[in-house]
Amino acid sequence: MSTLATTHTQTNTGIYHGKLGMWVFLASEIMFFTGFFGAFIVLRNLNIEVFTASAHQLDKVVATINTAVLITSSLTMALSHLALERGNEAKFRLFLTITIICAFGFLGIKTYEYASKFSHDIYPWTNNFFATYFTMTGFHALHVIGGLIPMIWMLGKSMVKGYPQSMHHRVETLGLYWHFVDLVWIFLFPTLYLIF
Amino acid sequence: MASGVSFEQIQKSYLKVFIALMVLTALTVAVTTIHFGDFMNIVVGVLIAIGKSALVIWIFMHLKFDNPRLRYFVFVPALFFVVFVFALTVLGL
Repeated sequence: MSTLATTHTQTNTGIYHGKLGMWVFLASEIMFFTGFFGAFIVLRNLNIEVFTASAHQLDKVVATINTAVLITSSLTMALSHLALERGNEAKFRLFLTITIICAFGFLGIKTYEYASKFSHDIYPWTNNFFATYFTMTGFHALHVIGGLIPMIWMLGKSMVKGYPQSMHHRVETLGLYWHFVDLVWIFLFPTLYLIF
Repeated sequence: MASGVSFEQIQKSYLKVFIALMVLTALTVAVTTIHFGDFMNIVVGVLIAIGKSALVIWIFMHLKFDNPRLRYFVFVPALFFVVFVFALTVLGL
C-alpha cells in the first residue's frame, strides 16, 4: 500500500477513492440484482409447474462450461492486476488478453444459447420463467459488455504507449467490478439451471 | 494487496481459490443428480453459491487485505439481500 500515498490524496480509511466508489456502486448493484431474484422467487412460487418444466429446457452443460469460462476470467483478471502492481507490464497484458478472450467466449456461448432457444420458439414472452431468464441473463450479459469496454481500452493503451505501474489501482477497481459480474453469475447459475 | 508478500505466494493463493471454485462448480452440478427433496436441493445450491462468492470476495476482491471497515459495504447489502429473499420465501408469496 506504500505506493498509494504518492499517487493519491490522503484518505482516512486507507482505501483510495476509486475503490471506495466502486464498492458503493457494487452495493447498489447487489440491490439491483436482488430485485430480480425477488421477482424470480415470487413468480416461481406462483407457477412451480411452469418453472420446473421450463428450467429443464435449459442447457446445463453449456451453462456449466460458461461458468468455468467466467471463473477463469476472474482468475486472470486478478493475476493481471497483480502483475501490473509488481511492475510486470508484459504479464499484465498477457493476463488481460486472456480475460478479454474469456469474456468474449462467455458472450459467444450465451449467444449460442439464446439462438438455440429462439430456434425452438422460446422467447422472453413465452412464459414467466423465460421472461425472468432472459431479463436476468440479459442484464448480466450487459454487465459483461460493460466490463469488456474498459478492459479493451486498457489493453489498447498498454500496447500503444504503455500502462504505468502507478495506475494499477484502476486495474484493481475494474477487477472489483469484474469479480462482481462473476459473483452474479455464481448465483444465477444454480438459480436458473440447477435447482429445479 | 499486502506488501512484502511475494508475487508467487499471491499467485499461488489465487490459483488455490480458482481450483476451489472449479471444484465447487462441479459439486453444485453433481449434487443436482441427488434428490434431497425440493427444498433441500435449493438450500444446498444456495449454500455452495454463498461459499463460492465468499472465496471470490475475500481473496479476488481483496477484502481480506483491505481496511476492515470496507466489509460493511459488502455485508450490509448482502444481509439485505438474504433477509429480502428469505422473507419472500417464508411468507410464501
